[in-house]
Amino acid sequence: MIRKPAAVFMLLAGMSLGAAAAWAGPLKLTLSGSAGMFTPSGRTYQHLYGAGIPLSLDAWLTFGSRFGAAAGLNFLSDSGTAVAVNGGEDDYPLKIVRLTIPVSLYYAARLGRNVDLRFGVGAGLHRYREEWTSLSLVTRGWKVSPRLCASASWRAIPSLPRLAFVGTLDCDFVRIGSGALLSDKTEIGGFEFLVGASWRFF
Amino acid sequence: MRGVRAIVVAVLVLGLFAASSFAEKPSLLKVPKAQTNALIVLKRCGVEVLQELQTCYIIRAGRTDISDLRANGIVFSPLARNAGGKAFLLVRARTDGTLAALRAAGRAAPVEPETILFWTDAGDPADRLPEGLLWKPLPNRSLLARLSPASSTAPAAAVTGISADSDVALIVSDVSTDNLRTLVSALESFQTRNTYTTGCSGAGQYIYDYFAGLGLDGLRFQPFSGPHGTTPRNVIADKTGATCPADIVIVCGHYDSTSPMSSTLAPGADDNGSGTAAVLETARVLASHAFDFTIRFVAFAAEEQGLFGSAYYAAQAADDNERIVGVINLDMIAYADALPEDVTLIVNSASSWLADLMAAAAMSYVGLTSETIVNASFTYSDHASFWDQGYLALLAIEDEPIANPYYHTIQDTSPTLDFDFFTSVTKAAAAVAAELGQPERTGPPATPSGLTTTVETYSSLFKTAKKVTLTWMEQGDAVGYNVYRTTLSHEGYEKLNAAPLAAASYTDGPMSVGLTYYYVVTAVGATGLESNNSSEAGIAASAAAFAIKSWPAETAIVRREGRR
Repeated sequence: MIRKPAAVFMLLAGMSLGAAAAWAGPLKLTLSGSAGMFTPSGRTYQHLYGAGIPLSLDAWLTFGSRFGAAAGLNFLSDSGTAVAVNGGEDDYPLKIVRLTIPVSLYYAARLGRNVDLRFGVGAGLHRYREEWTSLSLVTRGWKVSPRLCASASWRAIPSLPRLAFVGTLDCDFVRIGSGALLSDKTEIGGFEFLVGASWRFF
Repeated sequence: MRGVRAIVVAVLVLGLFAASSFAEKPSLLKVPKAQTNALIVLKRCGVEVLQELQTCYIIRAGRTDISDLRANGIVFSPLARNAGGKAFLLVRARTDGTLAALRAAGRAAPVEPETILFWTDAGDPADRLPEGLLWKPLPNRSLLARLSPASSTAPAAAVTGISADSDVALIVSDVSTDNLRTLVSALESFQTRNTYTTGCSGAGQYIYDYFAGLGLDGLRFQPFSGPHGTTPRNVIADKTGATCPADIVIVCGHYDSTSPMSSTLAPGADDNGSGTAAVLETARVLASHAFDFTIRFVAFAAEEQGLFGSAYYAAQAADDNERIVGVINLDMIAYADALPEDVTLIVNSASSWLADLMAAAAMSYVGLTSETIVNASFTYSDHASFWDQGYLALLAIEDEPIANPYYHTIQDTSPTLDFDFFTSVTKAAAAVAAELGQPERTGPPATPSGLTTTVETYSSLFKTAKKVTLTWMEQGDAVGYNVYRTTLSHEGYEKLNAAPLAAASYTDGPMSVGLTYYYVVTAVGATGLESNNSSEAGIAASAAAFAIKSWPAETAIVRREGRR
């Protein structure tokens, strides 16, 4: 049985692929790799883990000159320490890992000759795992949630027109029910600012 | 000028109207229990939970509370609007016509299939209630702080056997049918023990004198404000515990009676001369023995008018943080509609271990069979006053539904009683009281005392872990200690240590704690014999898990500030 968010995610992904396959005009495929800074929007997450360093691999498929679909893989790992709620002095290290498969549809615009801008909306399939590394306490789960993204790519080297430097700003809203003391629902999403490079294959 | 004045008056009137319409007018709501985290959300929202029933909570909520409940996805249904300042009754509805009869007498809303909320727009709804119905006042103060998720969801446990203890068997064998006959006759001799009569106060004095003759401790009357300006009195006496005197086992029953002629004649031999006599006889057979815990004998007054006596006692006990281990309420235990008669034990989920213990004691010591009913909605005797304060309590009764045809009539007299059955139930009550009180035994070390817990709580995004440190007073005759833990009070203890501990302390965890944990400690002697359990120490999930108020706003309960 497929849950509703997963069904929505698969529908979105399917529509993106379908649109690409059905597109009669020219297609552009670009792959990018990037890393950067994650700023959590949830205060509890921020308190426990602070900012993190995400890594991302993405594929961008542009139909014609205006619209496209993107999908990728985003990895975030961070460590922190459990909060002592009532005055305890022990340290219990924590580790959180989040793996996201983002799918989005975007609008592309050109700024000058060498800069492309993309503005997208979509969904992310997030798998997460939080572990108390010194105890056998593990929480894992997954969640589909909406996301917004914007990116700019700059073809800086005229002799390598397929290579571009990429800057991306992603925003994920990942609110998850929690049985913990600190909150009923916890937000593990936030803003990611990534920089990297891309290569256009065709 | 006149026009300006008219406008000012109109604005004031409109302002007052608007203010009154926006004022917090509390409503009574029914919140089904079968919702994920319902109790946790209720706790975090801080609403007033007035009554826990088998399938739902009855809560009192203002506009803000209602917004919070909606924002947190809690499903509820309204029972009564503008509930402030009104008295409400819970009425047992076993027949189809009850709801119509109540609606003819006042206002009524079905809560559960057999429970109706009844109230009137003015006056005391008890005065308008049709005759012959079981009822109980809806408490006016919240029991939220005393509810725990574990207590609300604990499963009905299976009845298991216990090994008969020779000390307890000796106590049980001392219960006398002749004494019970004498006691019931003495209570009947007051003609009526109706709360408004001198017969009731005379019966109270008789009980007091009886306790005094047994040499019990802490003998006292407990006067309280009763119905219609009366000042009835509970009668209380203690068999003080030798090791853990602050832990109290209560054996109780109400001594008032009623009938259609209650001002002059209400013999109440079964209801509740039988329960009262059993309390007195239990006190007699326990008085000469020593126990770890205090055993308290209480005869309540004004039960028939709405559990006044027990409600007062239980509220005072809660205010004083009395550590009540369990309550055995005896009400109508001497009529047998069919032989062999069994005793019916009514408990809520959290108290089901009490029924298990009494059922096992009844079978092991007396050979008496029992039927256990787990029904938090059966609130029509004094045990319910203890449930309302979060205490564990049991009702022992001859039948449910009541089968005594003389119930609440002037024919409720001694000749209608079955004294063999009555003696058996009294023996079972004495046995369970002795088991709970833990007789002092020769051979094993003394029971450890002074068990305390210190809890450190740690939290991540998704899990909360607790580290519990237990300490207790060393026993001179102990060579080691065992520590036991359970998630259901008094049920299913599991030993935590592999070998006896040398020191009088133990650290448990850190571990993920979704429920309240309860601990007891025993002392182990040189011969390997193990003492009785210490008093139980709980790490209160309610105190620790719901007390976080100063955490950042995101972590607080979802509130719709803009709608206030």
